[in-house]
Amino acid sequence: MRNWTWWQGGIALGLLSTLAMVLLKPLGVSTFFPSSLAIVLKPLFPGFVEANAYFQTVPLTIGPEHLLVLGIPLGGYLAYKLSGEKPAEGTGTGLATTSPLLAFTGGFLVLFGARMAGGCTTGHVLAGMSQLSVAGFLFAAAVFAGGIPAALLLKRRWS
Amino acid sequence: MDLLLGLLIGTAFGFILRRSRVASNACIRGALTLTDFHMLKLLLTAVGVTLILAFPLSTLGIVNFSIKTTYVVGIVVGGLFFGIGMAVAGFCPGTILAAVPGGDRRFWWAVVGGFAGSFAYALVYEPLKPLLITPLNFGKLTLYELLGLNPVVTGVGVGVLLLTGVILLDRLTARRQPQIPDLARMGDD
Repeated sequence: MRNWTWWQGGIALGLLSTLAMVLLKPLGVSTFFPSSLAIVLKPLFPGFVEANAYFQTVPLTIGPEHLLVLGIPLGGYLAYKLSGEKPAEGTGTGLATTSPLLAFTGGFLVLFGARMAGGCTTGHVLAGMSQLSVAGFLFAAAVFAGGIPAALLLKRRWS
Repeated sequence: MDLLLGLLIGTAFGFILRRSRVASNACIRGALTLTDFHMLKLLLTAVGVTLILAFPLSTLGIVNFSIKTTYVVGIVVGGLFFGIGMAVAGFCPGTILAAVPGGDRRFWWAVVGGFAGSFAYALVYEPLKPLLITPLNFGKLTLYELLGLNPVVTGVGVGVLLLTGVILLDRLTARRQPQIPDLARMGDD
């Protein structure tokens, strides 16, 4: 089955993003990472989470925002099953050009940056720009300012 | 009830990301090398549609806006890290989670890296706060406040501008072929 076009996906995402703001709150993903980490660490290392200033700024109990993030791989799985997509392992191009080290480093930088900025492409760009938040426009500009030179430097590895 | 609602919205979110091929590292890297405009067009369409719907609906008092704080240094430096990481990993936090099921097993390393990165930030937050968050902090600033305009008119206006921009971008880049091979591409999207 073919992918949705940009306008099909864009309209669907716009409707969902509006619905989320009416029924719940604006979409957001990256807070899940430190928040679920704090929830797990709290009983394991008593006192550590309480003493850390950053963990005091994230939710320390499970809420709808955690379930929302857990739903993403579920939805990804449904779309994967429905599409008849082939598993992407063992090939040299496209989806598979990710070494464990690069994937780890990239994931590290992405969440480190998202937590520093207070949101990611979902919270700052998709939801933030949709509320005309200045922070969202500023974050989007900074992401491209960092991402475009980095991608151009790495381009030879991918094509 | 809200928990279930969160799960349903998240599932729909992940479904849309994967179904429309943005949960693909080739698609995201194509966007950052300015060779594949699929993700950019999709994202700007989504923002445009939301603006046009949410601002008029907000006059009924049914929209839960939640504006984030504009602290220039932290957002710009964080955004630069984020952009570099997005090129290296090929994913952002939402798309990696949508790409993991049935995707390359090495994608899990990006998720692990994400937890490590958030932990590292938690450790450096307190000393860095006076440098990143305190200076140039404009609070919960919006574009219509900055420009002194009516929120609904600005929301719908920016929405229409973005959608017009997307159509122009699509016309201008119609002849370009994406250069990074994408195994997630199904058919001609």
